[in-house]
Amino acid sequence: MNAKKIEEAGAAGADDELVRRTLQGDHEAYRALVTTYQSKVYGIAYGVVHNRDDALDIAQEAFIKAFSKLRSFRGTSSFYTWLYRITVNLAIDHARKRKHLVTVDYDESILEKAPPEGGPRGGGETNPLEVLKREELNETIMSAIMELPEEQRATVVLREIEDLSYAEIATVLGCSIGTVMSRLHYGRKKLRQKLSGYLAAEQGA
Amino acid sequence: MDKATRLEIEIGRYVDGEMSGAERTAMERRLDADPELRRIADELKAIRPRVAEAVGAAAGSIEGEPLWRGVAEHITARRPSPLEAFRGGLRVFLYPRMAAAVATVVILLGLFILVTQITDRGAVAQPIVREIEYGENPNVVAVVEENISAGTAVVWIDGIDTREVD
Repeated sequence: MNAKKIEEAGAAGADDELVRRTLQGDHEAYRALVTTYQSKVYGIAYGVVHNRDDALDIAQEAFIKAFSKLRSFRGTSSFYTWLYRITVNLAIDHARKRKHLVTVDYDESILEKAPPEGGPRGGGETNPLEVLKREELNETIMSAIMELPEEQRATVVLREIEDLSYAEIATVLGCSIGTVMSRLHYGRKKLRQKLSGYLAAEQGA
Repeated sequence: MDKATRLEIEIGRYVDGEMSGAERTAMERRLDADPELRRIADELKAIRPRVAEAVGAAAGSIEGEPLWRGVAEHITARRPSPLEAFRGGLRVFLYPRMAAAVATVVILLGLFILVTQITDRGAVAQPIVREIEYGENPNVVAVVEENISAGTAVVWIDGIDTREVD
């Protein structure tokens, strides 16, 4: 058993204990679960909907829904894959509804994150040209991710950001491992096409 | 699915660490022998940190307290609706032993009520003979009986010598 799996097994045991205590009415135990997984749940939601406020709402809703359905959690999978499944379903539903309602998406919170003029931005870069290139690349990647169909997007996010195994992704998305491989392939292929210029420059450097 | 797609999926499995030791060794040999396959593998490896960085930078970090406060407001203030309470009551049927015990109690109660009612109405008592009709055949009589639970019935009794009765 490798270090990652040992760590996961330990975390799963701790989660089971917190779930048990929550079911006995201990809200502090559920608070610990929220604290443990809030960043990941928010990250998954953001990866699918690409909007900070919506992602926060989805994260909150996911934890509320998980709490109300906790008695139906059978423990056949780990708590976090069950929680991620709730999150992904909420995020995909939200993204689909939003696609029908909104034609121009604009995330105001991007402005809120902008640093003072002349100050350094992201990744500790100080060279303005490098900073600009990095931001341009990030924007290209985000727009490429948003162009993927929702299921492919969720698969890419779970793999590339959350580092879930194929089996875990299949559990979260309720599909087969073959489907995970297929979605991952087509999603990555589109990303590679969009990023071909950047990737070629990096490999040539 | 064409051969190239299948091969790229296999390279994806290699990059993602989803291959067994023997599969990895075989794939590494193929990558060493084919620069184009090696380029695809390198691109797939390069995508991960880029995607993680882009999403991380755009998403930013979240403060824990406001999220928990929002969740806590819902989970502490929430009381089950009458419908949810009813559904909760039905949950007993998810547990076979409990369901069997409830079913046994219901059946025994039903039997007790049924027996009590039948006895009260005199259904188990003898029917009341309302009328006896004698026909041309002296060995056959028609007896009109009345029973509270079954109503009125005509019973033909054969083989009696009615002349002796008379």
